[in-house]
Amino acid sequence: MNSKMLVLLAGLALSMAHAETITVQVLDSEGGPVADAAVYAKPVAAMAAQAKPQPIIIDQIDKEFIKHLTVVQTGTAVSFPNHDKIRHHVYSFSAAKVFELPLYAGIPPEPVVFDKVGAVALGCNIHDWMSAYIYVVDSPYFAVTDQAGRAQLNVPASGGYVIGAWHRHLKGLQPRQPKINVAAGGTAELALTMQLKRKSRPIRLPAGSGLAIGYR
Amino acid sequence: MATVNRLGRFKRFRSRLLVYVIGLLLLVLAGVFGVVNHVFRQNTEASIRHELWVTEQVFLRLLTERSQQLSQQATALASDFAFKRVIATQDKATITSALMNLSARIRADAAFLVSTDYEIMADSLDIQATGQAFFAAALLDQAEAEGTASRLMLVNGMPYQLIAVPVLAPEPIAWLCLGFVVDQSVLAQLKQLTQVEISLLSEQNGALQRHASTLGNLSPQQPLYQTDADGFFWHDDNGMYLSRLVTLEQQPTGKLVALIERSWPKALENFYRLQWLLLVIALFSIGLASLAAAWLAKTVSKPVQTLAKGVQAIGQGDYHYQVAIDSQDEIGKLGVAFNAMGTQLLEKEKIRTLLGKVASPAVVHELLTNEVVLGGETREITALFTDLAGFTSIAEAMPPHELVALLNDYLTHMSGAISDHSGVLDKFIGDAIVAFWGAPVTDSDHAWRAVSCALAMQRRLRQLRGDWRRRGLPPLTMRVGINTGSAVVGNIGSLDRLDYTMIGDTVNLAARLEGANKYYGSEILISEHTYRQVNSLFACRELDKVRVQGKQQSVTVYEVITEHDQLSSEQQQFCRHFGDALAAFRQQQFQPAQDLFTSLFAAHQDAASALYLQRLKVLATQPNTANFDGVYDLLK
Repeated sequence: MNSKMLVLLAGLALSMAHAETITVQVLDSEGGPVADAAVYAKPVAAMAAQAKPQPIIIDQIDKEFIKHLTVVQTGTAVSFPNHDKIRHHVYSFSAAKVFELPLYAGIPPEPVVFDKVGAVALGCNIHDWMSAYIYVVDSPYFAVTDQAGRAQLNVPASGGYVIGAWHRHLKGLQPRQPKINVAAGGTAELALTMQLKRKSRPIRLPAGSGLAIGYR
Repeated sequence: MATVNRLGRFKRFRSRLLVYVIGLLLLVLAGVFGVVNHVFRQNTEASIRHELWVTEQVFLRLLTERSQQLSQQATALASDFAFKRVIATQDKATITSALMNLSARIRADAAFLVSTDYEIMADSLDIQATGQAFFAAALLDQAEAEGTASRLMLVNGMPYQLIAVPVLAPEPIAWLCLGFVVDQSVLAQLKQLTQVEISLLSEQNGALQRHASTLGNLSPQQPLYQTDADGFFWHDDNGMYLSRLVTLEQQPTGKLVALIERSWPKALENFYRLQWLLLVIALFSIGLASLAAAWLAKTVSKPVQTLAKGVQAIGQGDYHYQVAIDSQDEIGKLGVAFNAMGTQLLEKEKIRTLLGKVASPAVVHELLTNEVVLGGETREITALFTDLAGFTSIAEAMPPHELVALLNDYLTHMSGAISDHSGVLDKFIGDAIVAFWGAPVTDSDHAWRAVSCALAMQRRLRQLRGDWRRRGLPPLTMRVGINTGSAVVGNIGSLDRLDYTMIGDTVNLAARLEGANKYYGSEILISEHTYRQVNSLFACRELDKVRVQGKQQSVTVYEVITEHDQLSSEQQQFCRHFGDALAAFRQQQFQPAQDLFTSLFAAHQDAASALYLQRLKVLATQPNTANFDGVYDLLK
């Protein structure tokens, strides 16, 4: 555990040492900030071979996925530890990753590796309201917007980057494939406008009693 | 007016009463029926309108509940994890097969699986439709906005209730769309709940089509009925219906409408039952009223008939007739009054009869018609007195009953003659009879009637004499004295006992003339007052001039011989000779007078002539005849 932490800290220090920052502001078509949007940057130049991404975990606590949106690099192994006393049946029928972890308790023996780019909607077969998203990108430089719709992408070097963004309500992005040049030691800023679907799209949630099924 | 005339033909009171009562009752019943009919129909229509309105609400509510129920079932179905797995396989055949299986679970008539970009992934009605755009995008839009959606739609020309729910994993990965045909059985269920007829129709491009109906296979109505402001309308298609159109689904291409109807005759069934009841009540009350009227008529008409019979009997003089009406009402009182009237009439008649026996009919009539008061009036009358000569001596020799029988026989005949001649029989005094004419009923022929009556009495007596002779009775002669003049006539007597009679000199002279007959040997003696009025009709012989005691004026007296046309030539000659003799006597030519009287007496045994011969004998003995006037005192 300690050694892992050390590696992590070392990596962070290293990147900070060389880091350039791209600040992305995501707004909706009305100019409001869009929170919980995935933002990533991909160098225009060919990327150097990347190390195998670190495995991550998505917990299930109190019949909810912890973290509603998780952005991962392709090839990331994701484990779904169940912290509840009941079993869960995590699945996805999304094109980017179809998988099932049939009724299990505790930590499933094998993590799920996400090796295709795209959005993966996670659900639990026995708890309709449980919902989470994994957005798989083929870049290690990604972030999630905060409440102000801002995200900072730390990229290792100056140069040209293609910026991508995704949101579960995303219908269209403006500009479509924004590119940005990051000057050495400088910061770059980019504003993106997202066209979003109606926010009333049905998402299952437990109603008051926890038994009846309703919609938000 | 015609009715009155027709009713007027019912002569019997009972029939008339019956017609009036039943007519009145029918009028009332007709009125009641009219009002009930009007009110019932109005109420029925109002209640049907209300029912239809309620039914519409119920119908819509039922549809909503049905769609909610189906939505919930569809939602549960869409949560089937295996199905989600199947969708994830992207294997169209498997997906279609799984969809069929799923829809069979809730007996859906059609099932569609539509992708999130509205492309048909599976279609239970048309396998070839895969990949085509889904026809009900609006339904999915609604489902996306609201979670589920339900609509009535036409699919392949059939009305379906379409339910759309998302297949969530947990993001929508597809739309599950289930269709349920709205057919006869669905409407039958609704009819069971609402008791109204329901038809489902669609209107597309102005064409109306009937898809299902609880009324059976009726031809589609074209065009849509004209509705009133309230949305109700009448239509006649195998019977009257009150109807209402409910738009269920309005789409640009057309609309689905429900026609809810309530049969008018069926709604009026209760009224028809009431009609029968009213008819029964009407007949019953008419029967009762008829009985009552008949009874009433009987209670009224029967006594009236009895009374009518009584009146008829009274009219025919049967005063003994009494009606028997034993009721206490007005008719009973009428009966009692009638009987009392009969009794009074009977008493009056008795009095009249009695009066007729003791008084002359004219007097009786006068007494009965006018108020009886004491008092009289001066009238010109003719008085007649009769007497039977020598009756007293006969009476003494006869046994009393024979005497009375003889007298009654005589008086009966004489009074009959007087009645026949309209005379008033004043009284009988023994064998004497007093009568008069000219009162109380005024009669200008009183003198003539009296003289005529006297002759008739003599004739009857002659017949009686023949009878009496056969029975060995002595022949009786009757003396009659008649005088005409003023007399007082009236009710004379006391308040308790009175006579309608006459008094006065005229009457006295008549009585004296009756007595004077015995001097002249005559039977009927009249005064000159009577003679003046009757000499044109009757042959009379002047007999004498007499002076009544206490009077200066002399009166000529005449013997009535007979009617002129009955007078024989011998009688005529005799009268003439007697007249000559009398004239000679009056002129104091006593010798010729003596000769004439002597020859008359010799020829006829004439008593008057004998009297004059007697007078001549007396005159011959008297030295002085200077104050001879030919007038003799009338002796009592």
